[in-house]
Amino acid sequence: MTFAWDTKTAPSPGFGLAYHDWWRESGAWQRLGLSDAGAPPVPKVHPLEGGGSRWSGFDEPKKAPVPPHVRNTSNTLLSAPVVPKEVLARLTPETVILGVIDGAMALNNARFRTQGGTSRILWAWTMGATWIPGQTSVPYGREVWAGEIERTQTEHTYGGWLDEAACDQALGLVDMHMWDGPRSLALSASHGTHVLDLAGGAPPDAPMDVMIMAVSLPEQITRDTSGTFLQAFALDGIHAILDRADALWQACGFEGETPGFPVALNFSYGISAGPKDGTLELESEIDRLIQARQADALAPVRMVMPAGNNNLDQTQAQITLKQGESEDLTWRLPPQDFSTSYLEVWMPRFLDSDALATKVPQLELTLPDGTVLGAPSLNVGQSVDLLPVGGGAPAGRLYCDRQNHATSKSGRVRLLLALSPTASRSPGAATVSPGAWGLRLQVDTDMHVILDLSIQRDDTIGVGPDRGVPSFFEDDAYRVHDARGDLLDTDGELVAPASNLRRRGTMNAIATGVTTCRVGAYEVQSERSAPYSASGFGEMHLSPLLPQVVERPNVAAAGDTSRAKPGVMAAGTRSGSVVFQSGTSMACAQTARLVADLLKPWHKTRDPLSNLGVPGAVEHVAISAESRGVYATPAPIVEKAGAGRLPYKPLQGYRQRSGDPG
Amino acid sequence: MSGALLDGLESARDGLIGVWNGTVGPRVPQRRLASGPGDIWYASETIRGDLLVYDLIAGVTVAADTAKAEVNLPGGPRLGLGCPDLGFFAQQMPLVRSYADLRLDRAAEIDTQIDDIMSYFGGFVFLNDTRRRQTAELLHAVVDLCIMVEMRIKHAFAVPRPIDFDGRIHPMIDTPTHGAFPSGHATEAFAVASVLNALVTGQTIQQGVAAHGELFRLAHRIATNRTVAGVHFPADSAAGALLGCGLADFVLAQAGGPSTGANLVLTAEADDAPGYFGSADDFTLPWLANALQGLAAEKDAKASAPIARPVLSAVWQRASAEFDIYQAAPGAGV
Repeated sequence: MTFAWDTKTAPSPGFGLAYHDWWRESGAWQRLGLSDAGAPPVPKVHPLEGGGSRWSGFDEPKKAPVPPHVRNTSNTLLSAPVVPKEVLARLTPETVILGVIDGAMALNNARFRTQGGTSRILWAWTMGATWIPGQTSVPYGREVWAGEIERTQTEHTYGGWLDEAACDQALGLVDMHMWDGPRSLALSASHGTHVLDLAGGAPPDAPMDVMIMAVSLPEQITRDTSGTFLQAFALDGIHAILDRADALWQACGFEGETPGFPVALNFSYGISAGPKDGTLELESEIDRLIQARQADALAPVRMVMPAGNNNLDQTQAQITLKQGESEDLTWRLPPQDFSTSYLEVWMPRFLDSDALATKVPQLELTLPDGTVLGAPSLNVGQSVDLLPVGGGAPAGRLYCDRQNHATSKSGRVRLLLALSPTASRSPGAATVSPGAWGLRLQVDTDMHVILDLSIQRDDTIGVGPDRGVPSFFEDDAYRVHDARGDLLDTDGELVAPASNLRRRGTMNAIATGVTTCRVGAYEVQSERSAPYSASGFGEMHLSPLLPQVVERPNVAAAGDTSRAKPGVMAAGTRSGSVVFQSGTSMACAQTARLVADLLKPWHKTRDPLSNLGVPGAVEHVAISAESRGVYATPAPIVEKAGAGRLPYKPLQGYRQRSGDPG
Repeated sequence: MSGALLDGLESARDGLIGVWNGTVGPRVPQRRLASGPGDIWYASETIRGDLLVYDLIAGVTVAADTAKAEVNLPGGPRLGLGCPDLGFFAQQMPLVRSYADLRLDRAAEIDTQIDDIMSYFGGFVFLNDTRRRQTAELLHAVVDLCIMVEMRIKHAFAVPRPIDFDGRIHPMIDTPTHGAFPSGHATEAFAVASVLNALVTGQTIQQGVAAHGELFRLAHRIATNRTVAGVHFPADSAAGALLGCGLADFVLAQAGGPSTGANLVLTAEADDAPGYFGSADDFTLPWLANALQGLAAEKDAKASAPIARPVLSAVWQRASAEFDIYQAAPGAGV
């Protein structure tokens, strides 16, 4: 089958909506068993001053794709958080709140209970759980407070043995009756549980100075292989945590300046394509939120995210176009990929008045069968379909939009190419050929232009019908191994590199905001940066229009025991079980624990401008360890490990074997 | 026996015996091999097993059609099992599909449990042919009893398997040829759990299930694993669990162990009956505990007269003695 560009263009839905547009066009709703048109009415939500809503997932047309049984169908105004009085007694003016947004988390695991049966989980929101009629304070899913968790645990305790599986079902964390209900906790290990243990788990006799608020993303998030709705759900989760933390403070009636509990937030998720300069919607909103709370003299909020695991995945490229010249790249689409593949091409940042504001890169495609499709003529704000020759549904769509950044009065032009899966189970569904897709890029300007290209993440975590198979850039000049045959995990020369493929710039595209602490991973035994741990662009690359943004990890924390023994040790799903899981997610979670620790003395000053727990303070811990000679080896390259390595502290309560740092 | 040994024994006899007219020598047996009807320890393990299985199955009859099965256990409870219509099983398919998401996590258990559940019970209770020889033999015989009864019922009900309802369930192991309802794995696992639990704790089945004893949790997991694999509906497990508990209760009653002699009836009809299981229901231990408690109250007026089972009694006594390490010796401190 071969393809051709449509002869006519259509308006682009605008930056931030292109992924949603293709999600609808490509029928991903149907593949996941979700109905767009048939969805019940969304609850009425409090409008914000100046329009919009707190619940980003419910802003049309970005309506969050939750199944009908998960939606709040009360048709009433979403209420303010309803704080049960019984939880107030466990809070003091010194309490620090740890907010963890992740996948399924085993709230009933003993790591989150004290000896006396008190839950360390103050509040939890399972976004993919069946909505409970009467819960008017959540727009979808189900929230539970500590009291309900503890009563459920009491009810399901038999002769001292807690039936955690039954508790999980009773609290809506596992639902076998709904085919699309949550059930990752029925597996022996989950990403969320591991992260939650690393960030806030503790043995039964440990104090309760840090209380956990946990938000589990709906499993649809992990079923969508490209993270299309990740930002919307994450933002809903952050707002829900902060709203409740504030409501708790108020209900407790504590005195003092700067009201509120300090909050450390951990979000161990990521996507691989985006501007990566702190301007993505979620990044800007987190920065705004944290800075606004500081300006309003509220208790501080800190955000920790992973640097990302894409360093070696060949998902990032950078090309320098000289005047009038073009550059070629090969994008390989693997066979049997049942999900959309996305490619983003970013122009340099421009001031609003700049000539670059309307410059669109020309993208010529060479199909795997050799057909050359000349670059479609596209203006900013337009899209064009890739149509099968001979008729049928669009097999792809090229969007051209402009991302405007209000604070810096600047913007960037982006091309987004969405290509249909290379395999489908539905007869007649659009697919494209797997193989080498040739990209030829050119920009009609009299300047040298640097283009950044990234491939969006496309992988399946846990269970799901849309098995994603990541696509990647290919280039013979890209060196995978060093001279000794080991994996090469840095790009080396900055000037005139042999290949356009980059490790630099593989950073998690939602983690580059200025208030976010980004965490890479290192191996405890070798003290080396983990090969997969993403590289930042480095200060050299970033636009002078965004002087605050530093696009590199702030620090590195333990992600692996050694190259031969991946992962660090933390809880499996059921009490007493331990598993090793590897990645910057795990490094991130340990750093969130450190941030919560750093925030513990905050109550002594209640200073809204305090630097406790800010990214710089975390960097200081790493710098101090590096300079004290904690490590036998010099600090890894800044692009991968930032200011340095945080000392590895095994979790309390686990017996370590000799020589076993994990 | 090898041909060489056969030849050797014959040539040795020729070389050693000489002429013999068949009159017996000085040592003539003064008693039978067995000291009584329950004494089977002169015989090999296989033969002991045959004798024990005969004792367990003696007098047990199954009357069944496609809708209802009745197991008559002389001297024990009467077990009734109603079979839902095929539409009921179609409504159980979404649960089977949900459980399929756990397959890779449970693969090792599912694969090895195809023909070996005993090793998993051996994970909780020391079971081998030295220290717990009679216990192991008893449990194997209980499994044999279960298989005969469950296969007869499965044959009468002849319920198709999940793969027959929709091939997209794509089971991860071969689907057995026999019917789905009730689950043999559930029947056997709950029968083994019940008898073993009685030996270890002295509890009745109702007590053990209500306490969520670890052996019953294991039986539940074994049964559920068959749903994860895609070869059983949760209702199969529920029916199998009741049947297994019922058969075990009969064995315990006949052997002189802890038993309530309940009259167990699983029904798909009245939703207020203790053994009711709805088409959207999942199989859980609380459901089983509830069903067993309710059913225990209904004593069976029609129970037929007991028949003697001397081998079972004798094996039970020896098996019980294998757990005497849990009893304090007379005069010993606590």
